[in-house]
Amino acid sequence: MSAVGENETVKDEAELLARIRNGSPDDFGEIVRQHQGLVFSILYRYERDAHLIEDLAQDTFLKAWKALEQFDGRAPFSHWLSRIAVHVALDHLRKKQRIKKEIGFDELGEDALDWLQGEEQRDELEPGRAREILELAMRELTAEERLVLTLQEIEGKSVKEICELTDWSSAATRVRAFRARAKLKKILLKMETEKK
Amino acid sequence: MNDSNIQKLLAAARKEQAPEVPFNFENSVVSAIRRDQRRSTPLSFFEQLNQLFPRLAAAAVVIIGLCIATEFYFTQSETTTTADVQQAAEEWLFASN
Repeated sequence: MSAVGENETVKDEAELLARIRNGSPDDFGEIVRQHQGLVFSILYRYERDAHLIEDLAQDTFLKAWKALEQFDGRAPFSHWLSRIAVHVALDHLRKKQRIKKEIGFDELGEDALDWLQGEEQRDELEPGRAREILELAMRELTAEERLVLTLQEIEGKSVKEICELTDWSSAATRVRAFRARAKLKKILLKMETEKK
Repeated sequence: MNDSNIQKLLAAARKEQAPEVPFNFENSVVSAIRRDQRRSTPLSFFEQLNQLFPRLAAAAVVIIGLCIATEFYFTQSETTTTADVQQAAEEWLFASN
């Protein structure tokens, strides 16, 4: 999108939001329709259950509605909403981490298991199977480590973008990302050894 | 696992598609907001009383039941109770003399 086009969108959004602030939740439905795809695309990286993703998305929009007064309109609404979604995802990861931590290979499909047991140079993996393996491996990471790894390695975000989304300092983000990568490598190696 | 395989794993995970947004999702969000608003709106005295009504009614039924049971018990053992009261009164009168 060009700079002029982006400015127009921001202006339209600001007008819509100004209307919503004085209006009813029905008007907010228009904002939800415009941004629901973005919110789902952030949250599905942290949860596989479709119903839970829907709950988390609803929670994100509810938080956005409650905090609407704090949105100053200087940046696009989507940036502000993404930050809320990332914080909802982090809270969810923290809760999940309290529930289960151990690695259970019975949760992996046959293709994923075959890939783990494969030779030195392995074939391409189907996205769903890769997700199964990573989901299991990341269970041993802290919520923050999992978040930073997903944002950086899977979503391809830069350190600056991660800092904006999480409110972490640049140094903290770099340290977490470094530790998370090292830990993931170690866990994957352990899973591979245990399976062979 | 070597770095190349880890990169293959991450690259494959990158390709995973986001799920479809459920039909009418925006309506469920609007309904959730309305529910939340109802919960957070301060209630008037009569609304609070109205909310308490089932508990107050249950408490009243329990008290009435207890009263009926007590009344029934004393009706059944009237002679004994009367005799007890009479004896106590006589002992008291005797003691005071």
